[in-house]
Amino acid sequence: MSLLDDHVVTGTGLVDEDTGRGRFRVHRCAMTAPEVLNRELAEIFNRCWLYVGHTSEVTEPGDYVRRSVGGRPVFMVRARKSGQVKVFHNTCPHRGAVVCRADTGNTKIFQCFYHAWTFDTEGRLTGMPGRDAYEGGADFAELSLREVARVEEYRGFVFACYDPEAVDLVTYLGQAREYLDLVVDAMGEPEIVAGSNQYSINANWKLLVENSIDGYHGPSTHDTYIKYIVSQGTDIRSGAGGGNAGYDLGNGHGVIEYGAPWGRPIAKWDPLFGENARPGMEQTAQDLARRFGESRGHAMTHTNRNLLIFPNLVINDIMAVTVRTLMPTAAGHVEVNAWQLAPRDEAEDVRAQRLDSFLTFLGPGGFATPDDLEALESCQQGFASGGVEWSDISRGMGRDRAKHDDEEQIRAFWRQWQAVVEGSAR
Amino acid sequence: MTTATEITDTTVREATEWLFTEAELLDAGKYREWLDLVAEDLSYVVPLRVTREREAETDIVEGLTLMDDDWDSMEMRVLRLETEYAWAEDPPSRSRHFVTNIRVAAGEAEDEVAVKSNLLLYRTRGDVATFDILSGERHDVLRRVAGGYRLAKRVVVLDQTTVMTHNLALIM
Repeated sequence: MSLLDDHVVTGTGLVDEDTGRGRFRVHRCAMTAPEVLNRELAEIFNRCWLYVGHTSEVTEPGDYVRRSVGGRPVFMVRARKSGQVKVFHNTCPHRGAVVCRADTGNTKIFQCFYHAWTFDTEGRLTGMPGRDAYEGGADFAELSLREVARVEEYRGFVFACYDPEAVDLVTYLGQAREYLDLVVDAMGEPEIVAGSNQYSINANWKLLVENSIDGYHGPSTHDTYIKYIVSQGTDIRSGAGGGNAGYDLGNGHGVIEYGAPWGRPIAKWDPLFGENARPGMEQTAQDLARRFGESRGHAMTHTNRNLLIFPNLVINDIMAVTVRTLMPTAAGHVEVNAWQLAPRDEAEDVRAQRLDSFLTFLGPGGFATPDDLEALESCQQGFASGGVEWSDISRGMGRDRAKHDDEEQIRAFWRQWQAVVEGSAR
Repeated sequence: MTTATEITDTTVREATEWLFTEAELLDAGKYREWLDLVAEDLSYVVPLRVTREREAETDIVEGLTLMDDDWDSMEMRVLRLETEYAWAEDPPSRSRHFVTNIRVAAGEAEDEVAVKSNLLLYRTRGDVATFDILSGERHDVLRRVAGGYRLAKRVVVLDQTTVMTHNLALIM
C-alpha cells in the first residue's frame, strides 16, 4: 500500500497547512476516493448535528414533513398531545417498512401498511391486529417509533444528530449562532415557503460547500447575472464599502459578509421591488435600526452573508434567504435541497419579488446556479486528469483580516473536516 | 363582449403547426426567432410537485416554483446565451422536443386558445454516454395576432419532484 492509499483509508494527511509558507492545500483524493466518502459517512454524517427542517413547516398538531437527513429517511412531526417537534427514524420497529410515505401532510396517526401497526404522533405504538398473540410479554414501549438520538432546535431551525454522545446544539453552533440570529431577528417571525428545489450535481459535495462561501468566483462565474440585474435598474455600486470579510467561526463553520450589490427583500430597496414597496421597506430599515442599533440594523438590511454550518447546511442571506442542504450519494455526486425562508407577515409584492430573485440567481434554471454547477462538475472532471495532486486554498493567508473573496472561511471548513474525518476532533 | 373562439379543424391545425415550429426553433438553438413568437405579457411557470397521499387534492406546490419567467427575463435568458459567459450552456446541450397529445380548447379571451400538449424532452451534452429526459404536460395559452399566434402563457407540469437534468437553463 502506498503512502497515499494509507492516507485515503485512514483519512489523515489530506489537508496540508503550512503557515510559514502561506500555503494551504487539500489533496484531491478527498474529492474522488470512495474510501474517503465512507469515512465521511461514519465520522461526519453519523456524528455531527444535521439540519432537518424548520418549526414553521409543522405549525399545527399532526403536521409532518418527510426528509432525508445524512442520507437516512426520517420524518419531523408536531406531536398532537405534547406539542413537541419530534424527529423519528422512518422505519417500523416491527419489521422495517417506512411508516411515513408522503413528503408533507397532517395526520392523527402513522400506520405501517405492512402489518397495520399504528403509532400516534408522539411515536407510541397504539394498535396492531391480533394484539393477543403478544401476551407473552412484548414491551410495547420498546416497539414504539424510534426518535433520532438527539434532536434540538435553535430559533426555529431543527437539527438532529445520530450520536447520543454529541455536544449540545448551542455549543456546536458556537459563533455561528450570531449569524443565524441576524437572519431571524431581521425577519421577526420567519417561515419556510412551501416547496423546495431539489437537484443533483455530478461533483463532490465539498466542492459545493466551498462554492457556497466563496466570494472570489462571483465576478468571473456570474458575469451574466450581474449584467441582468444592472439591466433591470440595480445600482451595483450600492454594495461598495460594505465591510467585506471572511470569518472562521470555529467548529468548521464559516461565513463571508459583504455589502449587497443588489436589493435585499428585508429592507434594501431596489427598482426590482417597484415603487409601491419602497416606503414599507424604508420603514422596516428604520425600525430594525431602532430596535437593534444602527450597526446591527444595517448588517441585517444591507449586508449579504453566506453562512456555512458544518458540515452541510448553507444559509445564503443575499437577494433572498436560501436554506440549502447537501448530501453526497457517491464521491462524485451530491444531492441538493434548497428552501426559501421569509418573514411570515411579508407584503405580497415583496414576497413575489423575493421568490423571483431567488429563482433568477439560485434556481436550477437561474442565471447563476447553473454556472456554479457547471464549475463544480468541471472541477470533478479535471480531477480525473491527475498530474496535479493538490488543490490550492491559500488565498489571503498572509492577511491579518481575511476579505470575503479570500479563502479563510473555506480553510475553516477544511481544518475541521480533517480533524473530524481522522477522528481527532472527538 | 367576449365570446370564446369556436375550435375548428383549422384552429387545431394552426395550433399544432405553431407548437411544431416552436420545437424546431428551440432544438435548433434559434432562441431569438423563438422570442418573436412570444407575447410581451408572457407568463412562463414551472411549478414544483411533491409526493402526497392519493386523497390529497393536488401535488402541485403553492409557494416556491422551479421557474417563473416573464418576457424581460426570457429576453435576458436569450441575451445571456448570446454572450460568451453562459458557462452552463456553452458548449450547448443537444435537445429534442417531442410534442404529442395536443388538445386545443377555447381560451378565456376571444382571441386566445388553450392548448395542452405532452412534452418529452431529450437532452445530451458533451461526450457523456448518458442522456436526460424530462417529461411533462404543457398548458399553453396562444393568442391570435396578425400573421399567426403568440405564446401568452405556459405552465409546464413536470413528471418529477427532483430535477433530473443538468439544469433547467433551457426552454421547455
